[in-house]
Amino acid sequence: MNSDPLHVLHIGLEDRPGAVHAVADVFSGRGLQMEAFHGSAGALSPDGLAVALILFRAPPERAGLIARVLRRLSMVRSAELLAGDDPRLLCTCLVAAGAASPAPGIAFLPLPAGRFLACGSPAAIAAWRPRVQILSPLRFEIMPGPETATRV
Amino acid sequence: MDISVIGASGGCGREIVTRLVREGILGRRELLQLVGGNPASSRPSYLHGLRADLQDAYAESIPEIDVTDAPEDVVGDIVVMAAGATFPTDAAATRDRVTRDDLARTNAPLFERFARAIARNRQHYPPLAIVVSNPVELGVHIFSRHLPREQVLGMGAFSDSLRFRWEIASQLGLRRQRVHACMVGEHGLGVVPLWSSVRIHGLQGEELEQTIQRLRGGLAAADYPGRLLQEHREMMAAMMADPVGGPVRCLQRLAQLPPDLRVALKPFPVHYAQAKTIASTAASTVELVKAFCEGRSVEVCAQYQHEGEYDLHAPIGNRLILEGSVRRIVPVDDLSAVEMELLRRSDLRCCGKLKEWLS
Repeated sequence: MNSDPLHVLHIGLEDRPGAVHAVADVFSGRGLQMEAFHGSAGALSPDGLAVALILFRAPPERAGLIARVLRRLSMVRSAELLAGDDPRLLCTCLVAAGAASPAPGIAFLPLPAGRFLACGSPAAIAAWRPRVQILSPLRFEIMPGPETATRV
Repeated sequence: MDISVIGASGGCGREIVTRLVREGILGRRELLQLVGGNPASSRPSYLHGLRADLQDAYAESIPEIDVTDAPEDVVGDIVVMAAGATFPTDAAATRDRVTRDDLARTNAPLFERFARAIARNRQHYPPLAIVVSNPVELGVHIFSRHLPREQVLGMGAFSDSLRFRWEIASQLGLRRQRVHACMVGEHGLGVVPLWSSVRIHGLQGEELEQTIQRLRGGLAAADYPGRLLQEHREMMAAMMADPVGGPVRCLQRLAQLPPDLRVALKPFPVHYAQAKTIASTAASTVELVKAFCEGRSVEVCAQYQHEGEYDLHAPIGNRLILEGSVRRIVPVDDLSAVEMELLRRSDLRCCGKLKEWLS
């Protein structure tokens, strides 16, 4: 299992065909795999830019280099690298009732049919996930709030 | 593979960039960075215009092109250093004596600025740095102080070797691909032709030996440096006396000299004919980039920062095995005693110059 630290890239993109392709090529060209990807079109974002959030594992220096390369792409307007435990990041997944036992850094929201929504940082969820059966893919989001992020 | 060309707005930088695009060396999603070398440039928009022009011209295969002036933004896996001052192309102006020493003092801070910034940002993943600017030995030396020396090459010996192969091939009526030959040592008047390395496809044994003897025109290896200096003096005097017609007459005179002298001397009339040596330098730079991009193990001649190998200490040209970075120096045991002696003298001279330039 890859034991490199988790990172999230928060990327502001021009909302054009090929923009995600360009970003994906930066990863694949360097042998890096995305663990999760969340994207939304510009029309759905307050600033009109498409947004991509990418969860991946890499040594910190390589993650920093990826962010620097992304910032040089013509379709990329911003690329912020966040640590996997950054408090601005919210990661969620559905779990069955039995899995909802206390876990450090994870909160549980009760849902109908005996299910729970587990919420925490990507790093906390990733550390907890192997021990439980999750019922949905990971979803994650960046929350506007105090500027506590670590930028590399 | 991403490539950054520092000094992309200069004559040579622009030609390198154009060739990289035209030859399709980079994929559509790979990054070609056009990096301005002069923050006080009188043409700050030039590179943006060049990008748009290249996109129009080569839309079918254009890579991602980025423009920046900031050394901190350089992200290429290969960094081509083509920025810096060069000699004026007006031979008459050489009376004002713009020397290689002047060039060194002008370009040293530029080398230092980019090498330092690249090293700071790329400590764990250093790029391959290819120094095109002159004095190439100074550039290699400064970049090697900041990056692992295995990641730093100078173009001088590479292009000199390509020219040497061409001069031999053209005299024999062959294509360059059929000739193997190396030029090592200091770029310019400190170059060392390795006749012992010459191989000509289809010729062997005595026939090869006789052909080489004929090509050399009676000029012994030991006499080469003295004859080169003498021819250079005469050529420069002719061009200063007649800046318009001088270069052409010098090129005609050069055609009568042996290939090894032509290699070292020809760049001068080409430069002072206002053509500079843009096309050949760019072509050989792109050749070296291609060799690196293809990931093959190749033998190249290039400037490299020696650290005592074969008692060499200067960043002079030598034969290297390149496998992504410099894997090793080709053993020098096949060099003749005179060639080895010339290489050591070139090394000593270069060490002395570096001390002078960096003091």
